[in-house]
Amino acid sequence: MEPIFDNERPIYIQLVEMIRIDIVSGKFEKGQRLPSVRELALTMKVNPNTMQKALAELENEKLIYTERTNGKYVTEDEALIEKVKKELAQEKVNQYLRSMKSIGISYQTAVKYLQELGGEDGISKV
Amino acid sequence: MLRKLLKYDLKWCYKPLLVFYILAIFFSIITRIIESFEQTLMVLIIDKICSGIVIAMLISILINCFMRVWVRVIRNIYKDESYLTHTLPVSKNTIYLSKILTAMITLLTSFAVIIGCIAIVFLNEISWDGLKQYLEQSAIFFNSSVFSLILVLIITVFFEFLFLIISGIVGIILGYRSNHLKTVKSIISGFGIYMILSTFSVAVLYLAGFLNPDIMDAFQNIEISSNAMKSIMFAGIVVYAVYNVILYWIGNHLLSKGVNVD
Amino acid sequence: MELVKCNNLCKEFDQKQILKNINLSISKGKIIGLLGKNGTGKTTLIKLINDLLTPTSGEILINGEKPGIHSKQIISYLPERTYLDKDMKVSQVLRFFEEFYTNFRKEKAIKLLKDLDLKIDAKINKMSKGMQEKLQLILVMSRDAELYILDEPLGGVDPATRDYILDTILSNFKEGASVVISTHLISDIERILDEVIFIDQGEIVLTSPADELRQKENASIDEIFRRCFKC
Repeated sequence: MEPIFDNERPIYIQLVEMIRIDIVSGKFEKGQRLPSVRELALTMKVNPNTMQKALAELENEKLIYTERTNGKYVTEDEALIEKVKKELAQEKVNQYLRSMKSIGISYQTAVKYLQELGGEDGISKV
Repeated sequence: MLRKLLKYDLKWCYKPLLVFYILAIFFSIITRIIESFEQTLMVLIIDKICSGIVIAMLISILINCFMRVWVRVIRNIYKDESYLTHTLPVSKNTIYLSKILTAMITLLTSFAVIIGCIAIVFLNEISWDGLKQYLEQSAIFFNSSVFSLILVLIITVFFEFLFLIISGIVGIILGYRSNHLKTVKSIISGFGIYMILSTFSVAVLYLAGFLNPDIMDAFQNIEISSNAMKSIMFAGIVVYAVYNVILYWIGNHLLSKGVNVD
Repeated sequence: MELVKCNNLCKEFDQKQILKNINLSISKGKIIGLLGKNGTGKTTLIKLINDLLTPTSGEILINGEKPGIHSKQIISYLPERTYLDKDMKVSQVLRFFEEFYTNFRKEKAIKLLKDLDLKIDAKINKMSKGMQEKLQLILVMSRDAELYILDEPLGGVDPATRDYILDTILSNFKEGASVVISTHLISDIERILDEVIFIDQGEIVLTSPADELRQKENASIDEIFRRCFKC
């Protein structure tokens, strides 16, 4: 699947976000060796330089690391992955609450809706 | 790289020329065979038609020999295909040299075919004897051997034709330096170069007359002496050779300064 | 050293300035968008780099040398027009490229042609214009060049073909090489660009890394371009 980019924001930042989600969701497992920059760039249909920049950013965040000759690997640090996952979740929850607030729904009601309407697999029951 | 360029230039120029060569030779042979038949009216008509075709083919060969090279220069150096030609890892001088060599080679083979066809149609014992006799006479007249006489004649005509082709090529190079009316300007400059230099050669000849009384003789008398004829022919070879070299150099120089393609 | 450097480059036609004092450098390993409306001098600049035009003044250096045999060995150029001898077959064209360019990878070209279902013994003049353009793209991308210059590769093609062309470019350019893509269709191409060069009325208006520009202006390159050159 070819990802869809928002041309208004730097492409590398969007790549960082996508790969970060791939890591916390387990699509890229911890300790797994990542495909080469060029391969990744090709599957995402982006410029290898942009992919390089995105991976450098992720390396900064310690989510991936480079083993000198063997390429790049996903971190083994489970705590870190959990932490990032929690941050992402926080962000999503905030988004939800903010949009509820914008249509005049209080915090309590929003939580109630979640329990009433939200299904196990994350899809609305209604 | 020159060899590769030359291969493609020659291939392109010979494509139609070969067809004309084959047709010309084929109809020459037919004409020859028909002429050996009994001369009925029907045979005479077919003979006339066939020899007519031969003449038409020989003219086509000459015209195509010129036009093909000129069209090749225009397309290859200035039109769409130039986008490929000029981005090959080859210098512009090599591209130019390849075109000039193509002109020389196609002209030579066309000469050979034309002479061959004429020989096929006309050469028999009687005409050969006549020709030999005539040539021997002329050879004495020119004070040289039959072989060198033929050689001098062919070289003169070859240089003259080559001069015409190179004038055209340089005309194209000049015409295409401009931004408008490129074709018209090419024709005018090519024709201009040819006419001016041709006229100039008469002037050169006249000047040569001051050094060579035989040549001066030709300008002063209506009847041209054998010695004058010989001197003029040699002068012709020298003059055309010099023209060809100069024109080649001019074209080379202009092209190496760069092009502006459409 | 820069791959391409233009110093005070000017080009005139009939006293009309088409390019005015262009100063530009293209470095190695970048995908660069040469962006401008039609008739602003993009093609003129590209033709100058490819030795198809002669500068009126100023100079162009490719790896420090003026355009010539050396520059033609390392630049793979896709012009806007079809430049092949129409009487040739595809196989003959492949031979031609193999003979003249030492960095042409015939096997790669054959593979790409196969992916397109293009018959190798097809004659060029029997192919549609679109097919001819794809063939040229394949020829150009099958060279291990140091610089690919693609003039309006997306002009006048349908969206599916656009994807095919972008894919072919991305998956085939030699690692570490630079790619210059000129276009006025920015939104289709901007996600793959490292750097952008805006050109208008024969002048370079802006050069910037693409992501930096997006971040600064908080908009897409396409949007910024439109703002820059309101008609």
